[in-house]
Amino acid sequence: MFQRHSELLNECMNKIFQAKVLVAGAGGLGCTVLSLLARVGVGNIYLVDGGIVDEPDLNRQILYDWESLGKPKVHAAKEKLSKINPSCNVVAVEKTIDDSFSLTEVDVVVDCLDNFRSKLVLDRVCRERSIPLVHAGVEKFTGQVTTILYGRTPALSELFRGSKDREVSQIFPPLVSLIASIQASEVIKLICGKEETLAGKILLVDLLNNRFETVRTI
Amino acid sequence: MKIRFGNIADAMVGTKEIEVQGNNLRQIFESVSQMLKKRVELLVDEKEESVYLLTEKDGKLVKNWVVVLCDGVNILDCDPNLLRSEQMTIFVPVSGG
Repeated sequence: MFQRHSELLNECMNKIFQAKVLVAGAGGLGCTVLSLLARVGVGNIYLVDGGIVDEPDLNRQILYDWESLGKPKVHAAKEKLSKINPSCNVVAVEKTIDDSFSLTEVDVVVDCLDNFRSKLVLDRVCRERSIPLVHAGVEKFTGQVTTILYGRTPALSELFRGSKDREVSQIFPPLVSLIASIQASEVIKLICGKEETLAGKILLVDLLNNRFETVRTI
Repeated sequence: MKIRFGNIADAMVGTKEIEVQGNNLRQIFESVSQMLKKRVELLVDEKEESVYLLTEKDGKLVKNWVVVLCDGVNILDCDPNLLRSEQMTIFVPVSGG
């Protein structure tokens, strides 16, 4: 199933097949990230989320449908991912990320969480293990993506000091897919050892105005 | 100094970019307010380690937490009385997933 990108990624495909990636959050960002990683050929995916599928999720959470309603997200997502790429080893962890969260040994962690409190817990555990973190956040028509390489770039807690969550429930579905696709691309580039990542930079996206800008963070 | 207003901050102030003289934070935002003909202020709360953008809308003051990077350096790590950067970027990080 990889014929249409195996020449593009060439010698990196073996690294992708052996890679271990943890995706924190199986909501809007997480669904697209998970789908793309499985389709590209990532061999081992750890999936962490404590939520269940709810009807308002269906506008953007592409791994779910009406039959998924009421099911734990990690199980519904695992079932779908196994149908997309049966050779992908998916480990589903039904858990909310809080202060008790500990990290398994993985190559990259993807932040698809929906609040700063959990994001900063993830940042802390990644920092303790020096595991690269691909962060993103979305709201309405805007979002941001950055890659954290501990010791080389500011941690999320340093970049977003004094962070405040906002009570916003509206989200433009195409923005979610776009931002998640950039996260998946970052993961693949990290696995492949490409230098051209968003480490040391943050990409700000305003899809309403088609505004994309990259700002240095170091 | 070039000041770029990124995500959400641009909607708060009503512009995406402005160029002002000076290297003192208070003076810089006095100039921004004069140019935009509305109150625009950066409030650096060192105790809380937070930065807020204050703007005027319909006669009311709107306050939002922001990240401010001066040539890539967080403004919390800069001397607000001696800003030597060429570019300041202000934006509101979002946390939805």
